[in-house]
Amino acid sequence: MNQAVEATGGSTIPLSGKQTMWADTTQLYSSAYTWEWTITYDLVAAMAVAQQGTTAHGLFGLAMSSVADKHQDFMELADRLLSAGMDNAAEMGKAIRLAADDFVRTDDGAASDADRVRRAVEQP
Amino acid sequence: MSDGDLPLPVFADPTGVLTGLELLLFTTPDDWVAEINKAEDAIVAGVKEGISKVHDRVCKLGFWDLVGIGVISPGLGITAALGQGILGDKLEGIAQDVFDKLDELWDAVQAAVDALIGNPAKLFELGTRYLSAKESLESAVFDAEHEKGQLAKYWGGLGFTAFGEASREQVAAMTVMADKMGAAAKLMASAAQALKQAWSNIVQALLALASDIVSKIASGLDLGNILTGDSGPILSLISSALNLVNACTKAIRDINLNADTVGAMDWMSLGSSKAFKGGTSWPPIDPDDSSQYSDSGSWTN
Repeated sequence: MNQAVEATGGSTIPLSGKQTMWADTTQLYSSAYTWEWTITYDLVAAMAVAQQGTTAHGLFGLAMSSVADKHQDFMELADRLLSAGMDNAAEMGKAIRLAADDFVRTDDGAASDADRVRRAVEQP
Repeated sequence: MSDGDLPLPVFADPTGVLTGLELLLFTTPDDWVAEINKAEDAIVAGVKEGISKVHDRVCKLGFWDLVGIGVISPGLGITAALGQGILGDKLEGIAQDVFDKLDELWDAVQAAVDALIGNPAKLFELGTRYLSAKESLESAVFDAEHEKGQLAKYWGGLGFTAFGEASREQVAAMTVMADKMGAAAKLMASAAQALKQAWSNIVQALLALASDIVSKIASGLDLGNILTGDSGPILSLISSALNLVNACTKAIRDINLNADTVGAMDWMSLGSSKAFKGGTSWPPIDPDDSSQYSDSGSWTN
């Protein structure tokens, strides 16, 4: 295992001298999951509600049609926006997951010392 | 014999009078229209009952009763039956005037129904769903912030900085949208309440008219008035009817004012929020941030 970039298991104890950058891949995977699934699911749920709102014009009655118009316009926008937010959340989660995969892979199988140094940082 | 010597007919209270609790309960258009129909039926039944009972009184009048109220004159060879017929025709004319007036009223009520035929129950229900959407978004914000805090402990370097920035922008957008959903929920409740109030006002006015018609026919349709074609009872009805028309008009006006108020919510103010650049787009992930956190090789400072 590449000790230079070994996951610290959550330790926050500062390393001394010229140290390596560290990351707890367990936490990275956890965050990736949260973004890719939990947050995405929450946004999907909100989006589903917004979609219901887009068909609610008739509930207001003619006398409140101006409000109904504004409400509908907003819910259509919200539906579209939340869809984009959902895509972003999924994308962020996936990116972190894949990067963590890469981190672990290169961690264990770095081809050269240069690869390892690339991720080294100076600790005060 | 004067009209006052005959016992006044007993009128039943208009049917379908709503209690306060029932008024609160009708929230669907079907319920409301059913109440309106019930009230209209009560009015028509009240008028018919009033006319019928007055007609019964006319049929019981004797020759000298009719002479007494001036329908016939002695010595002209006119029978009591003929006198009753004259009075009956007058009564029928008055009844026709009343029903013509009621037809005009139904037009006013129908216009109000057409304008106000929303669905408070479903508006309330939708408002509840908006609240759940708000909670979902708040949950997403909480999770994102929590993860960011955790990552700050266990992930250093530019990768985390870039991810943190991307997360901040997404969270800001979710926060604005959660606020909007909360405002939308309040608007649904407000619109639903306004509709319910308008509905209640109209039904109350209809019931008041029903009650008024019954009492005014009872006290106003005295036989002398019928003979002279006195429009006293009809004028009373018109006065009451105007109250109903006013109630309908006011209900529509009130709800329009309410619509102006609730509609004042700045639905599309996303543009003024930094979270939504341009106002109509969810903040995209900055490509620089994305390339930084997606490449573990560039996570270093």
